[in-house]
Amino acid sequence: MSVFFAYDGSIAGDWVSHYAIRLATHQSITKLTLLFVEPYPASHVESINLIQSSAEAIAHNCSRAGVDFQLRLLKPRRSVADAILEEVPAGTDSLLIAGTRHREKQPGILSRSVAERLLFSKHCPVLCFRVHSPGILGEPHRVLLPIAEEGEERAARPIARLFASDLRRLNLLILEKSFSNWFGSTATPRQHDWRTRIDAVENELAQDNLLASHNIDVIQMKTTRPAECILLAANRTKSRLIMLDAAWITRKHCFGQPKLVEHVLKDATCDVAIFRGLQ
Amino acid sequence: MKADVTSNGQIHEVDAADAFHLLHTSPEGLDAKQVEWRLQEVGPNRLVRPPRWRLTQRIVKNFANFFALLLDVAAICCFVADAVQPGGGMGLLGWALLGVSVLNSLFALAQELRAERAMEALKKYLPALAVVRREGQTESIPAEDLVPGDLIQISEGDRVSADARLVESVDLLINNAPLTGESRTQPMTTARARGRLIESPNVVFAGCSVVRGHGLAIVFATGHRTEFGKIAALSRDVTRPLSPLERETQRMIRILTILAIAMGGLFFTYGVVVGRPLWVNIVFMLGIIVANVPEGLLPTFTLALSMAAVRMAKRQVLVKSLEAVEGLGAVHVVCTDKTGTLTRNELKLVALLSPFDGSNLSGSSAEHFLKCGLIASELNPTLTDTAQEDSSPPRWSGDPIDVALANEYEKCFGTCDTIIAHTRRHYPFDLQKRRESGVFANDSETLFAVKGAWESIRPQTCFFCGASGDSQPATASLLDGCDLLVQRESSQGRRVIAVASRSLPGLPDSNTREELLEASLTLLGLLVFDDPIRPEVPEAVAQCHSAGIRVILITGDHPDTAAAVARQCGILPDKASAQDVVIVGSELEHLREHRLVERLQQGVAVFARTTPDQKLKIVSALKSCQLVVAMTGDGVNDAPALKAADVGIAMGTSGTDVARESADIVLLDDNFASIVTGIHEGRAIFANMQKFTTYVLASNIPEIVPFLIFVVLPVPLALTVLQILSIDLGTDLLPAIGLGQEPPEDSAMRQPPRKATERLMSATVMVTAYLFLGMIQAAWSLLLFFLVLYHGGWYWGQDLAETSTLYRSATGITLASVILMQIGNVIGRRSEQSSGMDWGLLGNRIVLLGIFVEALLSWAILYWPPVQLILGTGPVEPEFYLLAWLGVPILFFADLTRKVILQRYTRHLPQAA
Repeated sequence: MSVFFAYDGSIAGDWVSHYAIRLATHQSITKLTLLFVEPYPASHVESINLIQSSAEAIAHNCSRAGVDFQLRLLKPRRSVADAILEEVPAGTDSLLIAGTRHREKQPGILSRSVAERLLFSKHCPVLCFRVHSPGILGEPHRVLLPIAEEGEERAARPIARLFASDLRRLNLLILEKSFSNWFGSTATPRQHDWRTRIDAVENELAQDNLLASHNIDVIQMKTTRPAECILLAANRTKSRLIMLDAAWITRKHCFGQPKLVEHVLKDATCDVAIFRGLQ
Repeated sequence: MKADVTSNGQIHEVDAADAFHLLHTSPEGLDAKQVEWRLQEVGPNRLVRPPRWRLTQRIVKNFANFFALLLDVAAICCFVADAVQPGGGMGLLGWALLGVSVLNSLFALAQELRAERAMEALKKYLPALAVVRREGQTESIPAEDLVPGDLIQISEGDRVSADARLVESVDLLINNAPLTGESRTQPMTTARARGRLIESPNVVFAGCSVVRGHGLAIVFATGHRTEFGKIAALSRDVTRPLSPLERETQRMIRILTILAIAMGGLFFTYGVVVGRPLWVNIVFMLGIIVANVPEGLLPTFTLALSMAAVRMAKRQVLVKSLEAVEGLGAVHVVCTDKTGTLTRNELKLVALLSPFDGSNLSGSSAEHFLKCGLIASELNPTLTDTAQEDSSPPRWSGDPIDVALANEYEKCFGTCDTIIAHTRRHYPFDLQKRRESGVFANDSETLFAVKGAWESIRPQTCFFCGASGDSQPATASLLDGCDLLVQRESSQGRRVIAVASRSLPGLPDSNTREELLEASLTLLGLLVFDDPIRPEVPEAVAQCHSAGIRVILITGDHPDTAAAVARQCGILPDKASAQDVVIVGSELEHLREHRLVERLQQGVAVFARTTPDQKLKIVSALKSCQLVVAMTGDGVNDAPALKAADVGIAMGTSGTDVARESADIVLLDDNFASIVTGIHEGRAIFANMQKFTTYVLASNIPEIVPFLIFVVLPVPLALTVLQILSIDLGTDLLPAIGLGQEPPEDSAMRQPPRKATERLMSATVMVTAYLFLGMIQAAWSLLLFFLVLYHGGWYWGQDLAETSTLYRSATGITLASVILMQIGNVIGRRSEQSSGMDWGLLGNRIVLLGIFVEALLSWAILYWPPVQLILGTGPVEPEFYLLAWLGVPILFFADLTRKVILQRYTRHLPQAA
């Protein structure tokens, strides 16, 4: 895959750049293309001045990591997201990385942001990062992958391939909706179904030499508040990165927590990445 | 796995010089604009409090539970009734019901409002101010304003305010105990390191303290994103599970509420259908609801638990959460620490072994050996009184091993002041290397000495020192022999420390690294320490086992030592293979939860070399087996596990504030045997609760039946609502509390823990209370009611005014007979197998007092005007009062007959195959 990094020139973008560089090192084509949309009404020269020092720093880090670097300044289009998507070739051979919105007085971190548009574009695989701990430098080592629907556990394989040796432990969090009747009892989970599917994933990862089975942990939780469970599980497992499928953004009715992704992005004690289209 | 060509690593794995630009800062620090932007992005550097709505939710929950709502609605109806038709006493009733509702809720709220003090205790570890370099200037700022990229200066005595990568370090020593639980200090460095971030010697963590030296570091994590913040977040977010008692209480409340509403609704509807006035129907509905709800039951629960907690406090078990009293009684597994809980935490030097053959060293070789051990130690003189007695306090303070060494030397060879004074340099204990060292220099010699784990010194050992002081090259067979020696001692639960040394030509430069001195060492011998187990522990463990309770040992010690101690305590049988029953921390780290559950089910009883954060994993695995778990802990990082366990037990003496605030129970003497005391007490509580629940519920039937027959038949109401309340909130309370104080039966600790499915309000309790005892009370009291009425000239279908003398006398005798029969009930409830009299009536003074009050009140109801006025009762002929007293033996012997029949019936049941 070719790695493209949509960069906004902010310090948060600098922090995300570490992830972009690390992910680029694991690709067959070790190249990172930095995309910067020129802010309107700044001129081309002004845009270059704006981004020069940051781009040089990222270029330097790429060089240290053995990754080729290219900077592309994009003309503004109808929207920033459109400008980026026009530049990135469609299809699974491109990987687009972006950061989330700066946390000013906006109603949400992801809601109606460039990152959200990129995630829902279905143009190519997309990863949007929110970095809370810049000291990780893009090497999370321990990743938490929450799963609620059948088939989502298959994301483990592309994640393991993406992070390669930067991933030393993958924690799968299986979330199930809990029920209560008048007398307070809850439904028991169907462990056998999940076990079979998780075993299949483990075997795939081991066969592809991506991750040994003893480095994969599985936690099951019954809950009516999945956001809190995800945050709790990340702490318990000492995960440095939570990987959330973009489907969680629109999964309003599964658990009754429509703003789950916003909650996790805001309150996580580790980095968070929202992904779509990873295969 | 695919290997990276270039891997920078995380911030601790890069060079200090690279840390600046990787964290997007500079040696001059951040400027104001950068600080502002980052502060907006990541938020302030502080721990996140629990949401404010959580407290509101608790308050609402306690005032809006079913009982409370039911009583509140009933009270409102009474006030409305009083407004519509004043003078009927409905207003008084309304206030009584409201008072009961508030009382019940306040009792429950008092428990909930035990503030989340763990959070407050955690905040004490973080400083208010931080010294930071910004725009080239050094300034002191509120620690909350720190952001990633800030340059912080730390010096001796400071607490670290955020996680930061060291870029300058001068003789820096940090105490990481809040995070790691390890009380030893860690020497810090700016050099890059490998391994996990949390164990890195070039990172300082929030909440930890600077013991010595100073340094400069770049912040990379703040607030709840620091390692300390994550512990705080876990402590905050791990919800304490509902105790078994809480679950049962909630279930009972739901059942009784449904019954009350159903019956009230049914008879309200019936009254409407048959054409009774709406007003009358409402009053009847209220009466049935009040009769069904045992208003005094919840306060009785709380009082019973409180009195049990007082008894436990006298036995060194401090109860912080009342439900934990009963929770201990339901425990299936106790997870315990080793040092200080099972052992005395009094390290004693028991042997100085020659590395050659394990023989005891003596004489000059022992003196030299101990001298080198002292050189590698860090001791501080304590302040002692000049007038010393035999039991004078120790002269030295420091690590227990170092103090034991000094005491041994002084016992055998005199004062060690000179050795301490001439120890010019000390290299502190390194957690990863597991050794420490020092340099001694006087006029005649310069010595480098190191002591630590044998496996860490072995690679540098080139010579063995014999008893006569001669050195021999360290051959493979000598080294292997020493391995066996260490293993032999460890397997007896002892701690083995190797001591080695080498002569130096002169005092090395102060910047000389320790690694350069650790070469060509001569092994002098092995120090063997013993930490004796508490004498009462083996018996306490045996009691646990006979009570069907598993004991699991969790320790950071070596697995051989842990297994040996477990055998000495009786946790492991002597012949158990360590491989099957011991799991080490490194294995646990990679063990999947379901696999851990399997191992636990196969009998694993010891976890060795574990870290405190692994306790949470063990608790989760045990709870997924549907077991009730008690967990001990004393450190800050034990807080999440203490909260997650059903019963969290903190150490009172050695525990931190955070652990004590997170726990349900505090052992004031840190003694494992005290846990067993608590378990015994807790087992009695559930059984006693069933007793007084049966007792209280029995009087519901004679309270309900008068309403039912009043609605269906043309007869007067035998008991008014106020009279019902006088039973539920008056006479029933004291005997119920007395039943809650019945001592535990001797056989309580010889039976397995009660099943999770065992109900507080079981079918047996309901049948006994409602369909047997209650029916007898209802029948006898109504018999007397009608006897008094007929004796007074009443005829069937006649209406009687509530103020008429006859009616007041009839209701009076009904009330008195119910109260008196409760005397027979309370005696019978004292035992489910025997009569209750054989326990000695004088043994329980509260029950005795309750009986006396019931007897006295039964007289006062009928013959004392002030009580007659309040309750609306009147006098009866003495023979009727005597008949009321007859109800006591009638109920008692009927109950006894039931018990005898039941026992014979269960004895003749076919035994299960």
